[in-house]
Amino acid sequence: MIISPSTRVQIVSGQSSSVLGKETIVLNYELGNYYELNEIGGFIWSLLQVNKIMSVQELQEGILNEFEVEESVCHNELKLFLESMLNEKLIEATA
Amino acid sequence: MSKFYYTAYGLRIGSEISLPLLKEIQTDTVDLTVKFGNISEIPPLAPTKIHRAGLDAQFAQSDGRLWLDWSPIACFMAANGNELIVDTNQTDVKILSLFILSEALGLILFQNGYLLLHGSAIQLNNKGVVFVGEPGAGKSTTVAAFAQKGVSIISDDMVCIRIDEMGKPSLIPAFPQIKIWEKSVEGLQLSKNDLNVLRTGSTKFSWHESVSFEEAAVPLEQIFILSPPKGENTEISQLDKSEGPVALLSYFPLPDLLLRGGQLKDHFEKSVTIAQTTPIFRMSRPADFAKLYAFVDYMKTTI
Repeated sequence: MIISPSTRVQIVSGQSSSVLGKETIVLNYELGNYYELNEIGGFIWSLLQVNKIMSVQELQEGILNEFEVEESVCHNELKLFLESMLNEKLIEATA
Repeated sequence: MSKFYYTAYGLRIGSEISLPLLKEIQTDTVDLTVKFGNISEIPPLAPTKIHRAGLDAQFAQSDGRLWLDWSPIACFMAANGNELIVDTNQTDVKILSLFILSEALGLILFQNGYLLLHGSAIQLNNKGVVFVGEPGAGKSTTVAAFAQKGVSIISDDMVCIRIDEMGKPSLIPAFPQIKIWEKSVEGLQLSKNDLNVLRTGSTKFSWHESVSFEEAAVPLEQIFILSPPKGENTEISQLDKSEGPVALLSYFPLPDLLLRGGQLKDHFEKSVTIAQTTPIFRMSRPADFAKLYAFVDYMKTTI
């Protein structure tokens, strides 16, 4: 699917996650897949856990508030990250 | 009708079958009934990596019931965490005991919500230390070396962990037995008068009569993942917390088919709790018995 700034995403059910040390670990227990998220990935995950449904634009603002990163870099990296999360069925797009 | 009453893994067990390794108790109520029975109408069986006495078990599951088939020796059905049916023609007490006090009993513990690890455990200063590892990594030999120095054992082969409401993990004592290969018996210079052959024709020995055994649950303090010796020195390194849950997953002693969906979630979350509270170390097994005793002394003085 094509991700635009207004695309709204949420974490799927059927997963369990935890922060261990600096890493966020996520298990999709329906598919049996396991992931370790890095610091920014873990931050995005925590935003989605707290706010349930967020647009890509809102996620980008959240990251820019927390990390020193160029807006254009952030936009591209966030898009790639969300695409892989969608592919892995850890998040889903919602209306 | 149960003829014998025992305790193992914190369960009060009423059994039709004599299990002389277990401690006898007097009780009016039981948590688990072990009895002979005919097992029919088993769902399709799947192969497992569970290996005992030269046989690989097959496994099946269906609403509240789990089957472990060790044809032609015995077939087990665990029902609702409180009933273990044994279908067998065997009458040899040693063989029956070997197969019942194994993954078959593990199915019951799994149904009761405990986290199980393929490993051995000891109690040091009221702290529980677990050794996991691949078969042959030296778990039982390590525990036997501790036992030789007067340390109480908690379990050998299958470690049972309970996590309380506060998220504190503790080790539930199994039963007094260490199973060791002849090579380790000789290396540790254990007297064969204190040991029994595990079963007729086996080169494995059972140390149970004189071994010191911890009867109460003990808080979990440390977990060691043992690997074969690497050179002269015993290398110990601590895992990152985030590596813990996956590392523990590889030492699940029961069929992998049990860890699907909600049961995988439950196992993962218990493992996360353990990783949060308990240091996990990788250790190459001490290269010789003198170094193994040095490790025993080190643990006795530092924990």
